[in-house]
Amino acid sequence: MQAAPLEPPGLEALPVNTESDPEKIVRFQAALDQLIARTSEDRYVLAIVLVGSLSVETIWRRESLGLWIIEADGVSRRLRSDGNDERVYRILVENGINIHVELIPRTRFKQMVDGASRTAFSCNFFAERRVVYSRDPSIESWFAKANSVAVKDQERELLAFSTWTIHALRHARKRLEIKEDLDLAAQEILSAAHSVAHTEIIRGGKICEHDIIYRAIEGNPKLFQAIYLDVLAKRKNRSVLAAALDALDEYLKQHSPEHLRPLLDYLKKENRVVPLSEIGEQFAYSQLHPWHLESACEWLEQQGLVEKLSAPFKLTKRSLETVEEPAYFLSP
Amino acid sequence: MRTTIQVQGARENNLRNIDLEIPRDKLIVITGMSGSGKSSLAFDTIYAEGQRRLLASMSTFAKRFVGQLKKPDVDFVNGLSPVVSIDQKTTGSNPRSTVGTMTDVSDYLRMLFATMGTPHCPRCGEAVAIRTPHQMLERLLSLPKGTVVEVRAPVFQIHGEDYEYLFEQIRVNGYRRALIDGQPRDLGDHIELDEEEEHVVDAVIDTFVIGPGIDQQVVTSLEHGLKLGDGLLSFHIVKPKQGNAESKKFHDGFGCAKHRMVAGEMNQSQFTFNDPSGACPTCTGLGVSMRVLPALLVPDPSRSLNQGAFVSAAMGNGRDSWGGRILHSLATHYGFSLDTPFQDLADEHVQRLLYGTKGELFEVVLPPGAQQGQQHVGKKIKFQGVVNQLEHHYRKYRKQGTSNAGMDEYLKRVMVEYDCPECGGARLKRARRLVTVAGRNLFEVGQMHLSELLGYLKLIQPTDRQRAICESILREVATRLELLVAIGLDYLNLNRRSATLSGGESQRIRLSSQIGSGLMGMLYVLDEPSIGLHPKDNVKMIETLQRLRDLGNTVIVVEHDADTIRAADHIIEIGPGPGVHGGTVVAEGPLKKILKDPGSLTGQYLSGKKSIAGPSLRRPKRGQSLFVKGARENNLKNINIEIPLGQFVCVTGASGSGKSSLIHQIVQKRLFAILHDSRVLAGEHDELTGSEHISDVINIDQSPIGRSSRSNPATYIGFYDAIRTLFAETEESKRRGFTASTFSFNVKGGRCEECAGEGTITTQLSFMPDVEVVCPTCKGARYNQETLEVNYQGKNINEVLESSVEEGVEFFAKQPTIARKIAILEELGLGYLKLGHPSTILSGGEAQRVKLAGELGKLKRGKQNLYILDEPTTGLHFADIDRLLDSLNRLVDNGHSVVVIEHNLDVILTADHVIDLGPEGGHKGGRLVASGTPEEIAACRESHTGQFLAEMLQGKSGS
Repeated sequence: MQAAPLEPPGLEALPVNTESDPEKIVRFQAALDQLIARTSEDRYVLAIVLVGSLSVETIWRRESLGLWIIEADGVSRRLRSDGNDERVYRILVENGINIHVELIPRTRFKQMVDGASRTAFSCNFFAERRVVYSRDPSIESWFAKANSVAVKDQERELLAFSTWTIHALRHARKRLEIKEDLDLAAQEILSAAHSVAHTEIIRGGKICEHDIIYRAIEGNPKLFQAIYLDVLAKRKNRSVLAAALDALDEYLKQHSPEHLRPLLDYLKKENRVVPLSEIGEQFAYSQLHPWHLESACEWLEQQGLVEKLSAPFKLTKRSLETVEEPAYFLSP
Repeated sequence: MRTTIQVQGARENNLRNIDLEIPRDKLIVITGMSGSGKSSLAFDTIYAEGQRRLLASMSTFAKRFVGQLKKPDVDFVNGLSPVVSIDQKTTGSNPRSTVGTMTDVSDYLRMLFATMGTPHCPRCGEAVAIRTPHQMLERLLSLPKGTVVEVRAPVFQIHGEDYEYLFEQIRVNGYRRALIDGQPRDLGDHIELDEEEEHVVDAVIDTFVIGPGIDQQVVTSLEHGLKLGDGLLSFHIVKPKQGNAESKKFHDGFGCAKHRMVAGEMNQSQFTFNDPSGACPTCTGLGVSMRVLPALLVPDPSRSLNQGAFVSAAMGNGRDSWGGRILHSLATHYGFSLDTPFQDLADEHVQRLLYGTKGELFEVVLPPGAQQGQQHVGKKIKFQGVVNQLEHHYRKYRKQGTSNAGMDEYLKRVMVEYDCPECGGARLKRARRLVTVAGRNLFEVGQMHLSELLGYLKLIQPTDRQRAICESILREVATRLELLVAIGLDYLNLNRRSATLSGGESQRIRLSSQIGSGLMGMLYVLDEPSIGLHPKDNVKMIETLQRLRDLGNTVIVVEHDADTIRAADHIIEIGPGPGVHGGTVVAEGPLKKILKDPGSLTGQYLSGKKSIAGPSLRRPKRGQSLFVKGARENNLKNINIEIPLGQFVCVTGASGSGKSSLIHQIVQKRLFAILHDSRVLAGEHDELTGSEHISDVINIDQSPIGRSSRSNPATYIGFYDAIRTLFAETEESKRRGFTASTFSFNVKGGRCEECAGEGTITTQLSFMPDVEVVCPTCKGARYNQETLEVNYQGKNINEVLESSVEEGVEFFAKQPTIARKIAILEELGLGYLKLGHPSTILSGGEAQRVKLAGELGKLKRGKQNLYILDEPTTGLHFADIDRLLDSLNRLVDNGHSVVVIEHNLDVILTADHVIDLGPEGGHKGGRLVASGTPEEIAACRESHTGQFLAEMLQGKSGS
């Protein structure tokens, strides 16, 4: 008798995730509670913050838990693999669920909360985070206070994303109109669209976390239909891309004077012809490269908001001769 | 145990294989004519060998970090101790070096202030308590559980920056909330403040809810907060509201009553201006700031803007440069011509150029012929002015916190220093200036004259707890100060910058540091410590040297001063003549032996058998004078001075009495500004008249004549060109097609290419000393074989360079132009120098005389120059002084004027006119004590110089 051939491992053999979202939430919550129970006896653990939420809307994508654990100062345990930052990353596990933990000393955490402006770190990041355990009431109070969006931080982020948008748009137009390269033009447009998405989220007083483009589409479907969905979905043709560029142009015209306010305020305050290198120095901390600022200043000049001139520039610290660099002037 | 230092076979430089035994633990003076070999013995042999042996004892690893010395040309030196040389070099121009840092007194005072200082509240001035973070924590834990306490740090605006910058800085430090004028504000918001008003800003450091387990975070948070608050924090109970019994109990004795300010522990590094925790943030601890001086921007006001009236680095005028466009646009807009000399421009236009258009817009117009910049045409812009533009760049540069030598140099050319507007020159942060000991802060203590400071230290009353530390600090400070006062430096203060000290002053400071070190068994080698000392201060100097000896040290002094020689236990005279005529021990032994020794020139001068002759007749005034009115530079007390022209004028006075301030800072610089460069800024005075009687002002100082070994007396004075021409004109040269440049060792052609005309080849070894070997190709002759084959009167070019000045006079007798210039060198006592003597190894005195020879060689009829010499007798033996005076008198006889700053009484006595400043140094000086002929000065009872002159005159008339 011939033995029946072995069935190849088919689909039936693979485990099927039959867990419902509410069940998954319970499982994750249990893991979190278990960790809290373990750490509550540890006097050096001051607080635990859940990053994101365990809501029905977002649980589907969760594979692990993300936590910040605020530890007392001066007790950090460091491993060779840790970098120089005082914050260290650890991966724990509870009930088979991996927990990605960022261990942060209290003072460092305070700095993250308050000293936002030059650390590329938004204050309003607390919005989607929740203190799930605390033995230091002041940490809870920071959460309550810091949820207010710092105006200057918001402005800086808007400035950064707007300059990126302008920069990408500039390149997209060149690719489309001069090079007639539809693929690369589309790529640049999509890049600009992502920056616009960030801008839209920030304008709404929200934080830039996951699924930004989806959230932005929900907030402004018409705009993103033109600059994102059409570019992605339709066959790339000149008219689709041109329409996207026009929409981006329109968006910039409408919002950029507001988004570029820190730059305009700075030029107004200086009340003189300011060389681009000095502008770069002023905004060096905001993840803005000179070419982003250059694109923004050129755009402002095209809009007639600033005057473009030039200023002498020495290439080396010993140079006696000068070359010229762009300089911009805004009459208050 | 050895009681002598034995030197055998010393052959360094011109020393002729000499042997001698120098007694240890004595004060020894080595004297002799200039160039006789004194320094070769003291420094190049004894000091160099002592130093070399000390370094040789170090490990190979340590040797990598220290310079290595060559073994001097001596058989052996026995009986050496660790050797310290105290020379006359000024301590460099580091603006952070002060008398306090040089003497280590500042270090001790810092410790004193950190230990005993009383901080004060920056808001109300009330004294505040000092608490460690742990003590603050204890206080916090005394509050009931659940109490909410807010900790704040006082912060202050940085001068020249707006409040926005301050808020940014607070956020950079990790704090977002603050109280501004008592109102809580979020620093993440836009905060509009009246920048003209002063606002009270307190950054919120942290908020604590009192309870168990908060210890570590409170302490860390307070430590961070103390950094932002510069050592000050205030504590405020937020919940429950302040005012209850608990709150009163908490604040009682904890912080100032009104602002609840508490100071953190202090440490000495917070009181140094070289550390960011102590330095004033505006001037970064320099005490000075810079501002543009318009006069420096326009060096020659007779030039028009088109001719480059502005210094080019400040404002270019090229038609395609941005500066050129601005200038042309401004001229078009305001209606002035760019061809008008700057001095003739209307005030209104000068103001626009220097300080900007004050908000007014003007159109960009391109200069005629411009090739670029079309895109700018018609745009309306503003101009902030050249001065504001430069000051903006300066602020930006300072903010960067880096130093760039080129930038510093440039800024110095167009900007002048003034006291820092924030700290007023105190160099320290506000919080540090608020710490006092016995009612004075560290800066005020540093401003006191050293004698006054000693008195202040006695006022300090330490508590029982502080006593042990305080007493040892005070003892150290007092010992050092007493030494400085004893050495005649009582007029200095600790804040005085080292760069402003004279060579003599810095030498004496270092000398006092050595005595303060209390070491014994050392060997000290000093170079003319009497330089710059008034005879009355010299007495103190000699006492100090004797004190150093009495501590158990051997003190070797190279000296010409008669009083110092008389005070020596043992005298060594090297000679008999200079250079090749010297290098032997002429006489040695105690003073009595020297006085009786007929072979000793020093002995003859000291015993009065020989003397410097005074002039038989003083020159009458020719009716022309320079008048300085209202001289106020440094310590000068608004004095009026007349300097008669056509005479030999001596300026005298105690050290620090204001002689250099008057002559160098005012007279020389003002004349230079009038005659040559208006950018040179003279010291503070009202007016200088009489400059029309002067053709030129020439300062003949002791700075080196060149820093390259390729420079020598022949190249400096300029007769080397004539010598090269002589060689080029020989038949042999013509036949070979040689020109004068073939005989230059600086250019390719005739020089040896192996060593590039240096004569030696230096090889650098990593941790061994550099090895210098004679060039194997030219054997040190510097020229190639073909060039050396050309002879002039039997000597080739190298042999001419190797011959001495004396030989040169004879050799070039038939060449009057060359001979005259060489003869002047000989007349000035430099006959022993080789014509090709590298400038780098000339002493200060020799360099000064070479310069003088250069000037004497240039004398032209009809010119009436003013020559300024600062202590020209430095390094000169009695015999040399005679020759120098002859030369100076020759200048005066030719119609020139000579002003000499001098302490040497023999020189003063020969002057036609003496200006005596004083009566003392520093704040007790700066007045005109007497003016007139030496006899008139001698008759003046208030003049210290006069008293010494009177004694000399009496002695002369007696003998």
